[in-house]
Amino acid sequence: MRYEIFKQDAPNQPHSNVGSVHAPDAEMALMHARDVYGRRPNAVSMWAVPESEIYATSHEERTKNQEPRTKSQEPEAQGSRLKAQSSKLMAHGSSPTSYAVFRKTSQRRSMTYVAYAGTVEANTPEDAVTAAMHKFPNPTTFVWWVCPEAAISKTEAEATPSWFEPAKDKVYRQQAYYGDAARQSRRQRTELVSKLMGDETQDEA
Amino acid sequence: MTQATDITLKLAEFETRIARGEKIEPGDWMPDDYRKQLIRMISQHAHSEIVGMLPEGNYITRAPSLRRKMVLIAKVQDEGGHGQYLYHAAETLGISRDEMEQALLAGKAKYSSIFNYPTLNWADIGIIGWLVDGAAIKNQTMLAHCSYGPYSRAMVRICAEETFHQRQGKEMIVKYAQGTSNQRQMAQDALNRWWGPVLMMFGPHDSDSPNSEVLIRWGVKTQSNDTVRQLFLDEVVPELMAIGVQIPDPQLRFDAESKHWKHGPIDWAHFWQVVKGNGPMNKERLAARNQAHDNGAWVRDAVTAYASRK
Amino acid sequence: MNAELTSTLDSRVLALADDELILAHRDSEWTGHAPMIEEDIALANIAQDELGHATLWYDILCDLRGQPDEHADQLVYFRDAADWRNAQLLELPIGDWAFTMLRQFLFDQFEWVLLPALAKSSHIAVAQAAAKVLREEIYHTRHSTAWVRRLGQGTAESHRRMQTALDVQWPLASQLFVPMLGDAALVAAGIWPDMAPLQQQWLAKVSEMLAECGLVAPATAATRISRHTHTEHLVNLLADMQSVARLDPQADW
Repeated sequence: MRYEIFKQDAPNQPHSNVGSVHAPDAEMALMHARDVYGRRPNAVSMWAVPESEIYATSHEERTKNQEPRTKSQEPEAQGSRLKAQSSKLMAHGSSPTSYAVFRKTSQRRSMTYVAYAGTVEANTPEDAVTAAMHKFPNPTTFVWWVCPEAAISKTEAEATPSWFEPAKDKVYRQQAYYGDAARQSRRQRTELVSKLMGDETQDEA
Repeated sequence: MTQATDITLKLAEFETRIARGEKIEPGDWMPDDYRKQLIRMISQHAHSEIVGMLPEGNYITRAPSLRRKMVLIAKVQDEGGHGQYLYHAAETLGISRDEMEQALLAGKAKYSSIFNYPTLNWADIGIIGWLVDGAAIKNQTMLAHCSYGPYSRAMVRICAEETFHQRQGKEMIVKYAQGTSNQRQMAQDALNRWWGPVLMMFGPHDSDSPNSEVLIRWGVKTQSNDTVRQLFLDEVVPELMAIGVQIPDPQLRFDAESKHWKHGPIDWAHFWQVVKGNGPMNKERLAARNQAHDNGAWVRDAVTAYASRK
Repeated sequence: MNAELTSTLDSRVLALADDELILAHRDSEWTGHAPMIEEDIALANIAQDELGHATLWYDILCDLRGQPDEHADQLVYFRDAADWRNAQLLELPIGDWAFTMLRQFLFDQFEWVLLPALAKSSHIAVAQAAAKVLREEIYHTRHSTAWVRRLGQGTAESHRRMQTALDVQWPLASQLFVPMLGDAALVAAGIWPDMAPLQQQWLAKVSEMLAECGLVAPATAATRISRHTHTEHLVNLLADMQSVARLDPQADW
């Protein structure tokens, strides 16, 4: 099964989608998430959500097609696997459920996709999106993801020292660890090029 | 409105968005060809990372100091991680990881030909880090600006991580070029074997690269093969010369007028042979991936069975 | 610390460093060959951790011996099999995924009982190193436990492979706790814990998991193999590991 992974870089920042892992269950998904997305420092918590639990929709879709959709009414051949799950999710609930809301609020900043905004109460994922649009009107949201809050598996707070802090000690994964060699060859490069520019008859070897 | 005009309008709007510098995201409308080209590029890129673990992995057990051993494991591990980021990016376009893996294992998918060469001495690890990763970073820096959000984000993350890959390789070669005679010989031998294949990594000359134009218009690529190759050459040639190794290209010269380094002819006939599966290690690489996959089948079955009962 | 205590502590630390190094080496062999990409990455992580732990212990050894840090590389790359003190369990080839995961589990559980005791050592450097290693072991233990549970209870085939691995590994595992010359003095000085009660704790933890998985520990007499004896596998491992370094002993790599 594929799990979408959300990483939190600091306690005061929202969990942000960083990618996915394939895992047989949530416990393994969180362990994989730690190894795949936590090799560099700056993680304090991770969430894993089965992709089938996520309902995704974009601003573009909502402005072009205002009526609620089911899978059979979807516009042609859009490849989002997440969205393809919508009919299953539509059938999901009839009693109010707490949904987690994730959203993308910039079209330009390349590194932030959807980040956690908060929760809403709703009967269906589609209603959850509508509720989210009222609850989080600003700034403009380009992509909405909602999932039942209960579908989120989370790393435990007490796991942080063991799960995420050791990455800080693995300094050999940082380029600064190799600073001397790089500085040295940058100086050599500058020297050689200026020499060549000054003396165009220089033999190439 | 006819279907044809509808598509034309959508295409115009799509191209306007790209021109404005907006990122295209998974649910957004995109031309079929954009999707196809991205799936092709991203899956090939992912496969390259996964197969790319093998040539360097070959030396993990023999890294000659505790520090080098640690660095090499971390580096090859990162490549697996990068494969993972990229498979994820491709999956957002509607292809499954399983489909991509099956294509690789069946020998139907392409990956970077550079990984079809053997690692024959320890200094190969340094040359791969400095030049192969250096070349990859040039391409990836360009792709980090790509119009497709998930690919661009994967590339930004990969570029940030890869800088250490290149640095550790450069550190080795700079040291060995000034080291014992054994080390100098190893470094030179490695450079002799890898230089040609590295220049081929940027792909065919612009005149022979059929996909380039549309990929540039749609903001997938932002620079041509020859442009990126030139950037790389201008960076590494002076650096290699400065440490006293011989670049194995007798026709390599500095063109004072254009202020660029010019390489001799590239053996494209050989390049296409390797692409077609006839390189020195194509069969071994594919066999190693198949073996890992086959040996892992019972493991994957076991965890699936366990999960289904919980 | 008197000369006798120093020498005994030296042997204990060397054994632990060698255990970590050889296990890291074996784990790293999976990089690029694991059953799923996610586990290529996980095992490479664990290998880096174990290698880091080995380096910590070798550094303490360098200090005990009044040697510079480079002595650690000398120990790893220019020492012959007869002088290694790792347990045989760790030098066996990686086998299949069940073999590797079970070995990792047995060793993680060994560290799980040893490290908290070692973190209370009266020797400050040893105590600090143990606390640092323990932090990463929390994750390792969770990883190997998750795998033993899934393979032990997954399919008939995975269960059979785990039992086969257990049959080979069980008689060797007790070597992790085998007494070494001078232990009593180290225990008396509060530098190293008494291994006998730790072995009982380990046995209880491990047996609980084996029972959960329906795996049966073979009935073998407790082996008392000294850490001075090795299998052919260590000779082969070292021949490979040391080959580049020994091409040019004068070189700085």
